[in-house]
Amino acid sequence: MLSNVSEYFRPRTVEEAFTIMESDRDHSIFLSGGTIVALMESSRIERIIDLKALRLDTVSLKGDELVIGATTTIESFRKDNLVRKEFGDFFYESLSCVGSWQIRNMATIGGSIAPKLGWSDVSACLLAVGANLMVYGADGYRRMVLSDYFTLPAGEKPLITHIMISRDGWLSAFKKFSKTTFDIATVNVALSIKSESGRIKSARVVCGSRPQYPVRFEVVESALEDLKINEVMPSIVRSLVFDNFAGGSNMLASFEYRKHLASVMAQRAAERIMEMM
Amino acid sequence: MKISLVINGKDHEIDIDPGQYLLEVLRDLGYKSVRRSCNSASCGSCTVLLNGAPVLSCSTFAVSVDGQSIETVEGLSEGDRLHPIQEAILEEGGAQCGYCIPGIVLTGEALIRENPEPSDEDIRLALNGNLCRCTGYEPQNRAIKKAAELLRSDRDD
Amino acid sequence: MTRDFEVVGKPKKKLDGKAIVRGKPVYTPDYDVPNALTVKLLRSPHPNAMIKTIDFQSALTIQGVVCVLTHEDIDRVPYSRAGQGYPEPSPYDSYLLDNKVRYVGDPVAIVAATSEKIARQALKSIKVEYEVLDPILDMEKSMAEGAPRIHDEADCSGVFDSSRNIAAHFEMEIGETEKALDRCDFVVSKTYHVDTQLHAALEPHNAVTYLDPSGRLIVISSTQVPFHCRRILARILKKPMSEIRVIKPRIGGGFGGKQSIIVEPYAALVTLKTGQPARINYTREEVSMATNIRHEMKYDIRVGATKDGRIRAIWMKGLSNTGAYGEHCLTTFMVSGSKTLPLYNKVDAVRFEGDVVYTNLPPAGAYRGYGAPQGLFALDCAIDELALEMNIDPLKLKEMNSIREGETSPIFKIMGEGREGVPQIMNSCKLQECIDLGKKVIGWDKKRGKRLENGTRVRGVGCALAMQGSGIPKIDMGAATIKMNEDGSFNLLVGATDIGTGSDTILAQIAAEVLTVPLEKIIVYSSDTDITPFDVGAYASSTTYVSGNAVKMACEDVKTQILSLASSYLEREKGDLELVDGVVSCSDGLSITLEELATKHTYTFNQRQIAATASYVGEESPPPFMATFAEVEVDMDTGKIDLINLVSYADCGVALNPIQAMGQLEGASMQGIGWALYEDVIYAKNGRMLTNDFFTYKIPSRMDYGKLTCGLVESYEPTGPFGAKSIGEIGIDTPIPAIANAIFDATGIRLRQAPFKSEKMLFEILSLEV
Repeated sequence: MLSNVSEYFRPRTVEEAFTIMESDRDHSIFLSGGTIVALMESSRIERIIDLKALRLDTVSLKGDELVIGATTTIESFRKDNLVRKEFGDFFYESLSCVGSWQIRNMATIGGSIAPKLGWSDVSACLLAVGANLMVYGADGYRRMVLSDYFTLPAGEKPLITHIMISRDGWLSAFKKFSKTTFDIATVNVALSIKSESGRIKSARVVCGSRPQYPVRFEVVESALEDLKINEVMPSIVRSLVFDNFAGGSNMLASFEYRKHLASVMAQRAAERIMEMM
Repeated sequence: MKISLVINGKDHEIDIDPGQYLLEVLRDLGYKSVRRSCNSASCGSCTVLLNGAPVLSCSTFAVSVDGQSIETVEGLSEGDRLHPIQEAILEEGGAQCGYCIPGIVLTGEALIRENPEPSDEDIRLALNGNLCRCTGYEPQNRAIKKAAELLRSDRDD
Repeated sequence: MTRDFEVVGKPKKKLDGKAIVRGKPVYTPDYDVPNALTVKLLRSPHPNAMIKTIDFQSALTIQGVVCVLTHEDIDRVPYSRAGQGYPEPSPYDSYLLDNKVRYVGDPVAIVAATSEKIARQALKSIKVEYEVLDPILDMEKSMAEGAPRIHDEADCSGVFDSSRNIAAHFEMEIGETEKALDRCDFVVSKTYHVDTQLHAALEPHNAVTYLDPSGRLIVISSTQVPFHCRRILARILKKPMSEIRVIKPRIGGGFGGKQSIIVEPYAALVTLKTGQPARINYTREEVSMATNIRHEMKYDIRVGATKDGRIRAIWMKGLSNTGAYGEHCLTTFMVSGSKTLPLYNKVDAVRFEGDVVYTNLPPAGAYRGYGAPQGLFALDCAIDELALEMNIDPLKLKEMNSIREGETSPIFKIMGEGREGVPQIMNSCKLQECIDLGKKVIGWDKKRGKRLENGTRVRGVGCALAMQGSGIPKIDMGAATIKMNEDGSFNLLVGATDIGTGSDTILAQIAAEVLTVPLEKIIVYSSDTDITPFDVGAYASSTTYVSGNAVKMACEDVKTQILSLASSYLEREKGDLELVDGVVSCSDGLSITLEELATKHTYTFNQRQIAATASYVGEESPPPFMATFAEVEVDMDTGKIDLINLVSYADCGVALNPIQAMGQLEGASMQGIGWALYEDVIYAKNGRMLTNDFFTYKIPSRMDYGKLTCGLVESYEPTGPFGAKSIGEIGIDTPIPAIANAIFDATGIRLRQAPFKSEKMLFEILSLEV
């Protein structure tokens, strides 16, 4: 609960939103879906900057890229006709168990990425499809790779305005392990494969909720290059992920369990991709 | 701050604090069916329909829904007539302590509006965020299925 | 057996149903009490500490803070928070505010302010100096030499041995257990451990208090025990009981979590000190960590049988964790034996013993099942393991050795709750029928031992048998008053506490049945200490059996009055009259409706109020019985345990309202499923409960189980109202053992610690493969 809110802003432009934030970062927070803010206990935050009025809630196709407004809700994103046309059921199914229906109606794509949540299924899936972000910062608009956003230095906090995903012929699958069905992931894995002549041309291997934020495992990705896509492939993916997993322990699971689970989820994601071929 | 809300079709002009959540604002206006059970957006008891979509009023700032349309369970039944979901819940035994029921009725209604012939899986998925500790879920799921059938046949008539 | 009841036995809709589905303001937080102060508590961040100083001067300077109270401002009165009959069989080891704190969350100061925001501000400004002491966070360490003494205060009483942190101790033996075990051909000796559980009732604990115009203290509370609340408030606040009124409106669940007097005294104290109304609303975090939790229990158990398949001896030694305070400590421990051991009544000898110890963790208290589920985990699983040794189907072993109709067990006499029990013969027991039905529905013979595989997943089935009780015999009293109105309707006033169970409806059904009127003619008002007669409250599965009998007796009295009055009014012999469908008629055709009769007797003829009050105390506590079968699917690659089907058939006597009875069975089963598979209470290293909200403490959701198949098997209990027993608790007893047994059937791995976490399962699987 934010117990000390005294001002509520509804900026109409991105520039305005950013300026308001910069004028008192310490006591301000961007509000998108509200579900993350709901989990916060703070008496320091006094100013809410509501991004909904920016109307960054549309999905459109620009050339080869799907451009998603940052305040698009998870539910409208996954059900969007364009998204389903370009990406099949990948987002529709993968994001079907994010929180609850209510949470999916509130939480936004941008709002899932911005706080660098460890457990965000959205972030893991977007990383696996090679998403890029459009952000607005002190130097104006710039485009950046999603994984770079997670490693920005602490002082740099640009505002995410759009998420861009290109239709690049990859096949993707997502697997999540959680204690109950209305729960954050104990660990999640998103896998994308681009195939050519029965072999893996390239792969994106993402593990999230490690418990840290999702990352791509480049070592695994390189090892998978040129691998024959056959019945052994998923178990190779599994042992590669097992050997290279990086993460930690917390209340939900020990590192060893996460490592094991991630490898199993990776194998199952690979099996799913093979089913789709 | 002054905001306006349309609640169950009725216009409200209200003066609120910027940090107030929709839950408190609704309760202060007399919509006591909207309830708090947790502080972590994790139980669904506070569910209301925002422009027809189920959302958690405990995590929605009232200012953010200025000018929009909210439905609470008070708006679903008129006079002595109950909404089919409400009637079905009573028939099936889906309400014990009743604390979760307004959220369940609204989410069920939103589901049926979007999907007039929900399967058992559809019902479980749509209402997975509405916790109930008393009933073990079975009678509520049956009630929603029953109400959906009734509403379909009413429309077909 | 067919019975021709008109109202009883019918799936009548709940009387409060319409109000509930319409979201009417019927719960304690909905009662608008103008100008009520908000009461909040400052809580200890330490698990064990002495309070040296509390500086709240800056709090008092905050605009809107009306008072701050510490242990120095209130009378020190030792009490037990337990909602039990007086004298409570629980230690008097609690103080409204003490100069010592014994768990993270223990209240330190009370703040009353004009708004929630100001109260929080005030809490932040209070400075407390603690002398931090070493805590005990593991019940195995409580009795160790040199362990810190949690209750070293001079004025606590009823503690078994406070120098060793033993809140309660119990032992009993029938026959000679060691000798009997020696004579056995097969003996299993194991240890089982059940972790704690949170009630997670959706309505957080809350109360509102105010002074009425004559200065009486009115308390509206979300409580299961309004009468015990009144008594305990009188004790703590040193106010005559006659000046206190406690009212329970609709409440959003309890499950035992509201069977203690927790929040009311703080608000009441503020009202008495300030003269103003006060409201206290616990947050979800406070409900989780600072009300009551379930007793964590560990059992060392030995069960022995002879080659002929007969279980001859049972030895159980338990350790129960009562946390920082001892409410319900002895009684829950005894119930873990008294409501499990009689199931296997054909033994030659049985020994049950153990200790309930203090730890610096949140206080344990009453929780549905009340010790029986913990004891049953040990007992049922040990027998399951014994069956493996004997190469017998575990269901067969349990079936052969379990109690049947007409039988008894010496344990009934020896073990009650907190004291001796009463001997009883099973007048009604359809356990065999429950087993037969359940085993067929789950497909026991087809599935057991088959380990059906599906990719990396393997399935198994397990069974468990259970019993419970119906009220506490010779102790729990319930009373009812029924008064007739001139229009032929009746007001039924009962102390009995409907906590969502539908007891108002069921009691009204009993009344309607006796008085031969439709259910709509009975107007129920319950749980108001000024207006309704006494009732112990909703616990021990007592409402249908105890309060129901009181209602039946009161209505029979009124029915007798009606016939006598009709006899003189109609000038006919009483023996020639009968009351059917709300009409008194004579064999010669003369008749009068209840409405006519009542109107006459209100205004013009032999005017009087037709009414009666009756009380009932159980002479026995006839147990309901249940057989549960679980089918699980274990993912051998992840350790995840999925519940495919939980099948439970229960004999609750005659189900007075089949829908409500099923509701209790299904709800309790789901709570047991959650406890077995998902509900995990985790503490930080300093004893702070980390899983104190629904984000971290996961109760099952709609998608977290496959099928739940419950059913009722009817028996007839002659001592129960219209043949009824009870059903409120039993459903939660079996999921843990049935699921453990199913996991064993599926994987060959025996889990003896609940909840069954997937991580633990996986590492067991991996170590098996090595």
